[in-house]
Parts: sequence; structure tokens; C-alpha cells
Amino acid sequence: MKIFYYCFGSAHSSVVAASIHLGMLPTDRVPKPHEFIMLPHYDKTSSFEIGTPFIMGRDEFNSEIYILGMSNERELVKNAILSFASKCGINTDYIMMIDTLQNVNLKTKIGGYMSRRLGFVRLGRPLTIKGIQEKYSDFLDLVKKVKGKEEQNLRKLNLT
Amino acid sequence: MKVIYSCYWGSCLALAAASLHLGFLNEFHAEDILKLPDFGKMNYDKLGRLFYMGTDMYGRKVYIIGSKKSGKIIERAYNGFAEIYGIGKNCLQFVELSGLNNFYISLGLLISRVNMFNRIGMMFLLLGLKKVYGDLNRIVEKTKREPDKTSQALIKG
Repeated sequence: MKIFYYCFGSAHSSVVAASIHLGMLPTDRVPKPHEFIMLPHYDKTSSFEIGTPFIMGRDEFNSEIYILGMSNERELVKNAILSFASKCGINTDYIMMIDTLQNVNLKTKIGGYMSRRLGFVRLGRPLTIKGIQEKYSDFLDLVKKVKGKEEQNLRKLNLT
Repeated sequence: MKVIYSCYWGSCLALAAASLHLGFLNEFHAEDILKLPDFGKMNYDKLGRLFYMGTDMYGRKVYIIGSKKSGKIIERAYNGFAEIYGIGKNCLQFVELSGLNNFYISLGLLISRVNMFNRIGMMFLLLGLKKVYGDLNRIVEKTKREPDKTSQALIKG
């Protein structure tokens, strides 16, 4: 099974969700700013890398966890990927694609724009972290649901 | 090997390029172009979906896709997926054609949205396509000859 957490630029919300999934962030408290900054790809992905899937690790079910940026055309890019996968003979039942942008608030959006687009990293990065800290419980809920669905899918596909 | 021609809607530049590639089109003949299935149609449901057009003489499968302005993103995603699944980057040639889009093509697509002005829209669309037909042909010929070149190099070259 491969799980793709996708957002606008694979720099903030998808990184956080994938990191929670992989146990790189705590589930019993809101992480401190330095814990976000230490994550691979956090607020680092450049615009020319949007679209490239990056592996974050393997979870306890041996599923590969990826992050992916899809800009504003997330539905279109998602359809294009699934269409490509099926044309290549890849069974799409083994692919889960999770939109994480639903958990992004205005602070993270503004911070992300300032840091990634305008290059004001010192101003933008703390703002992205503040926004994600505020919505952290939503990220935990999302990942919990994804893991439940993953387990269900694996059982259905007889992979557990 | 898969060759994927991409443009905004997938129904103009990409369709014409795939048809040139497969020999359905040769010289610019408006009648032949208008006979292409779904030429100039703008269907939201078809955006982001690969459509198989045929297999060329080297056994490469030719597809078209409507990718709006996300062609480069989709190309990177496809290359990434090809690598993840061990398909191999060289098995895929993504040719983004949005760079050939011009004023007449955009105007034609816009006008042809209104049913009663469809014929006028098609006229502009054909005019726009005629203006870039030489470049389109050149890109298709290069794609056929040099399967390992990227779309960007083709458009720049």
C-alpha cells in the first residue's frame, strides 16, 4: 500500500500529516516549533518541486508514506495520477490519496506564501507553525481516520 | 513507452499533435481537423484523464490529456510515479504543448463555449492552430525521433 498526503506545495500540511502518521510527531500534545522545523521537507520544498512525490518513510503496516504538492489543481492532478496509474497497470486499490489542505488555516496559508513564494522565511515559517499548532488536533483526527481506512483496505486486500 | 501530449483542455493542441504523430493528420486541412473526435470541446469531466489515441509505428502508445496550467506538475508527478513503481523514466515522454497556445486559440475556445457562436469559435481556433501548426509538426517529429528528450527541450529547441 502507498499513501500519498497531498497539499498545495508539499511543504507544510502534507509534511505534518505524514510525520504524525509515521510517529515523527507526538499524538498526545501539540509539538514545539523546533519539532516542526526538524521535519524533513518542512517549509523547504521549492515551487519547481511541486508535483514530485517525496517518500517520508514506512509505517507499521509496511505501507510507504509520501508527500506530494499539487498546487491549486488538486482534483485534476489527482485524477491525472490515478488515470496514469491505471494505464500503467497499477492496481489503484493499493493507493490512498489524502488531501491535507482542508486543515490549513489562514495563518499557515499566509506564512507559506511569505516563506515559499516571497522568500521571507524568517517571517513566514513561524507563522506556518503557529497555524498548524492551532489546527493540530484536526491533523491528529485526519491521520487517525486514514490509519483506520488503511487497516480496513489492507484487510480487504488480505495484506495483514 | 508512452507518449503523452498535454495542453489546457486536451482537445486542441494535444489532439492535433497526437493525430500528427499517428498519421491521422499531415498537412493543415481544416476539414480533416474538424473531423477529429471532440476537437475544440471543453469538457470538465475529461480534464486530468488520459485518453488513448493509438500506437505508433515503434509500438509507443500515444495519449492525450487536458491539464489546464498544471502540465509541468503532472509531468513531475508521472516521472515520480514511474520511478516509485519501477516503470522507468525512459518509458514516458510527456510533451507539454501549452507554450504554443496563442490569442486565437484562447479566443476560439472562449467563443465556441456559446452554442450559437460555435462556428465562429471554431474559425478562430483553426486560425490559431494554423499559426502554430509548423511548430507543432516540428515538436511531433522530434518526439517521434528522439524519445528521450523532455518537452521543455523540445519547445525551446
